[in-house]
Amino acid sequence: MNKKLLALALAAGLTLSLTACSGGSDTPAGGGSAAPLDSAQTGGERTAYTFSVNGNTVAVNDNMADVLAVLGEEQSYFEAESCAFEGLDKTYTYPGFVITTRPEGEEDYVNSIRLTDDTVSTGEGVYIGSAEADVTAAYGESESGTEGMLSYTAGDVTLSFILEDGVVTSIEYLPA
Amino acid sequence: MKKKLIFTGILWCVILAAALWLLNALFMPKYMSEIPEGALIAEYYNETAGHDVVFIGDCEVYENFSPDVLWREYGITSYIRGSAQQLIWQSYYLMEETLKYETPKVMVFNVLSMQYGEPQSEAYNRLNLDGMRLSPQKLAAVNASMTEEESLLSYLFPLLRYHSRWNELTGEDVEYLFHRDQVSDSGYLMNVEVRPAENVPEGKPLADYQFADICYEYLDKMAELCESHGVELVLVKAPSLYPYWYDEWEAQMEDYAAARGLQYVNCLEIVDEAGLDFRTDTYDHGLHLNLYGAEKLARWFGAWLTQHCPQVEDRRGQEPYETIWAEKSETYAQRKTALEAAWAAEQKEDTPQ
Repeated sequence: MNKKLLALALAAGLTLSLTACSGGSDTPAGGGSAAPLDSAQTGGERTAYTFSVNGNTVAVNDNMADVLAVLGEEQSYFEAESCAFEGLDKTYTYPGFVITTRPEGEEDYVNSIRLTDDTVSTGEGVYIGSAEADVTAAYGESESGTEGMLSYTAGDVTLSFILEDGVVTSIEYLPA
Repeated sequence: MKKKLIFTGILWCVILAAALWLLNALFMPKYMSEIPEGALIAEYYNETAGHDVVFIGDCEVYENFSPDVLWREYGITSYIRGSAQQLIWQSYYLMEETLKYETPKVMVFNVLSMQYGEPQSEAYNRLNLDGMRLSPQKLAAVNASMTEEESLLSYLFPLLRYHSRWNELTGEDVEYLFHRDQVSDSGYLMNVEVRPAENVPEGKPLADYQFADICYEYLDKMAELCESHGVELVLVKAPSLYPYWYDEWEAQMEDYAAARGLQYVNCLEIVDEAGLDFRTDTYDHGLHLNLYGAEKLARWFGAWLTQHCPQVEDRRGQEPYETIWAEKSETYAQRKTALEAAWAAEQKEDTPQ
């Protein structure tokens, strides 16, 4: 017990000088910024890419509670706890697309929107099964240097296409 | 006069060093009531006898294999040097460090981390590296792991990193100033909760399924390190259903093991044989096994080790192992009873009246 008291006394004295530079908490935690990113126009000429289904628009970084309010109940739901840290990464599967979220504080925000079949398409008309030429016609030259992948960034969203033999096999909206 | 000045100077230096040491101990996260994964790496240094099998890797080892079952049913002495999102270079340096303390017969490495070709996050780095004793291996692991915002100095003097916890300190920081409770059983982090695996998503298509060159470099280094110490390296993929393990990844591991002459076990392929039931044997919907699943997997893996790695001995009846493991088994059983009681109480609370 004496050792602990001695430690506390020394700590109290020296902490003042050492803590002068501290801001808030910097203890390692699950990560992520404190507030959602603004998915509106963030510079440049193009606004962020969004996905529309049945007249409803969904965007990366949207609050998932708002998305659920307009899209309704998902077809299936899966949640994965991150190793060690609190918070769930959630996966909402709808016909034709899958939304994943990331936790930030008490809220969940859209982290990705992935199109899974040809019943839905991007706002620019590209869908699973489109040809590579359709993608470049709609979006121009890719910014990605990765073979088999075309990607485009606008605002705070990257739209990524994966191709196999010149055909789109995956379309995903991700944070830029 | 001069002597007195020198003495006073030395005395102040000693006091300052002691104060900094104490502050460091106070401000370091204790990982007792929260995030016990952060305490795993350091617990290894409390071991008093060697092990024939050492598991190295991420959560897929420290949550999925029960060393107690390996001991009780096969007499295999084992330890899990696992930590959350342990990257392959961290596994390599832990392996190198482990060989300074003991020479096991078999090192088991879980290959899921082959998917990460670059440092991921400071938060996980801290869980994996802060607990390592200062050594050339720790310095190398830190250098290989740091993200852009991190500095080597903050790992050597963690106070630089944690001093801003001053307004978050709790009674736990004082209580565990000079000691820690054991959170694991030979590196196994027990969880008895049951949450069935349902709607586990398929893996999304990737542009490139090829593991990064740097991962293969470290895997090569592991194989060479083990070979040079006369240790058999066994590769495993634990039976976790998520994150998704792609067929393309599986093919690469099978090819690698064949080319290197290593034994490789994909436990996803022996789920039925091991009797694993993902309705009852997982605590988080298929990411990790719970205690009941980990015991079933250990039972299967113990039989596999006995058959495929005959150099691993049955140590039952041998001292000091018999005494050490009797004590370990008692602790394990007590922890199991306590956790089961807590989980039953939680279930009762959640049940509508």
